[in-house]
Amino acid sequence: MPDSSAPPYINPLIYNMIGSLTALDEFPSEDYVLEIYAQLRVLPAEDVAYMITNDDHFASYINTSLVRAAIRGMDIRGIGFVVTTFIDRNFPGLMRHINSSESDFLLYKNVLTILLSEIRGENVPEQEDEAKGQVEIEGSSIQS
Amino acid sequence: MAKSDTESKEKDVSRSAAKEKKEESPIAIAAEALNAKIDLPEQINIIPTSPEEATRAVDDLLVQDIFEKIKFNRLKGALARSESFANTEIRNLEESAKKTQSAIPSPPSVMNMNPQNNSIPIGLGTGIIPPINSDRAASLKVALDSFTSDDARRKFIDEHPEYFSSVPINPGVPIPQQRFSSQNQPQMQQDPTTILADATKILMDHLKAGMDIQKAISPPAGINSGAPSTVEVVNTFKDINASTVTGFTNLVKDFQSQMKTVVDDLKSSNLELQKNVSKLQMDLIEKDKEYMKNRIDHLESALQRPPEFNISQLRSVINEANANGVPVSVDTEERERLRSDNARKDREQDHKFNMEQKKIDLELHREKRRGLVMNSAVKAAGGFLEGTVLKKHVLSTDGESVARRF
Repeated sequence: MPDSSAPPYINPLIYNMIGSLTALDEFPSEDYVLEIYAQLRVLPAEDVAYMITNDDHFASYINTSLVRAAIRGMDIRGIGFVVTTFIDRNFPGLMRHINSSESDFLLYKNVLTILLSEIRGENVPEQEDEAKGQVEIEGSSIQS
Repeated sequence: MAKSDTESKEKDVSRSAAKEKKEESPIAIAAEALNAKIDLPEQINIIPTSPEEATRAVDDLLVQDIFEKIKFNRLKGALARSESFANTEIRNLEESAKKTQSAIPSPPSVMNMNPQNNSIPIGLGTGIIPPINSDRAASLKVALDSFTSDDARRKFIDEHPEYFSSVPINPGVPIPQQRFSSQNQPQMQQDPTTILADATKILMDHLKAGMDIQKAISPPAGINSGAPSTVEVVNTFKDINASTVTGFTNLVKDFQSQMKTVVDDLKSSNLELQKNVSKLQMDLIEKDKEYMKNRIDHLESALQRPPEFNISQLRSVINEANANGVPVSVDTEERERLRSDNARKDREQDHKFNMEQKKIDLELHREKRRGLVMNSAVKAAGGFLEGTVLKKHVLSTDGESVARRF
């Protein structure tokens, strides 16, 4: 049982890998990301994760051993910290939306958890409590 | 009796004259025809002796044609004018006659049947009824006034019809009251001088129409002023004949000189052609002789050589043996070695060519790979830099809050 108060382990490779995403030609702008987020935030985390994992770009990355190696030894806290840092640097508006409500945060966390399980080939853990929270906050608007 | 003898003699004379006319010589007939032609008008020469005469003849023909058309048109116009004038005169005369009849007073029964005629001045505008002379009317008035009774007046009128010579003497019909105005009165009058003037006018108009017709028939002065006399026609014909003879003589002379030149040229060219033909024939004979001599020499040499195998048959036999696995060769050792060397050199050249091609392909692939490596290296460098920046990135309050909640 890992200590939750200790800082999470972060593999140095993940910074280079996630930083190389910014060099892609298809790297989106913040406005486009916000538009997509406004469409996806009303969906369940499983559906959002399913849409992401079935995207061609995502599939081309998770099938490489480099991604698996980059996240080796990291738990959800470390992944969350790195992804949060990436979003906070490149899409600060999206980060404000995620932090604006609990339901947005739960959606964000659950999607990351599902994606991590998919990449590692693990089963998706049951998130009943978080799913309930997702249902409760459906219909709320984004507060900018 | 004597009369019948005279008639029979005249008949004999006419028969003999006809017989003599029939038995005239062709020369006499031709001369007569020529004399007859002389009297004919001038004709256009069909074969003109010079272009100027031909042009002049065509111009004359065109002018004559145009003149004929003009003459015909003028004649038609004059005839139409004359006819219309005659019709107009006839119509006027008919109208005058009608009006003269209408000016005569009708019987009382007729007058009573048409009462409107009483109110209309009879003879108005016609000028047919001769008015009574003013002196005569005055004397008649004085005479009638001198009588006291109407019977006496009627008797006077019956006894003196000369006062009413211009009106029908009919005592039962009253003289119509003529109220002509001073302007209409001259038109109403038709005294002999007026009729004569009208007749003169009609005659003058007819003369004018006749002059127009004559003018239209007569040719213009510029073209043919009057009919030419026979002497002029004969002189013109003689001139034309002389110019024709002169032109024809000149033409014959020119033609003869041209023909002479052409014949001379043909003779010289024919002579030259004959020379060329004889020379070519000699060359051909020489070449034929040489070919025959060579052919004979070749045949003699072939007859002197020993008999040989059929080369094509021998080659087919060797090829068949090689195909069946039997190594047979008709080449000499030197030629065999030379051929194998050539084949080896060909293979070496092919190998070198293939190697060069592979080197080129390899270089191309290396270049592509270098490009990919550079691209990936750039991306990797960018990713590394971005990763370094991410490592040192300080989270915002929102990011820190989110990261802490994991």
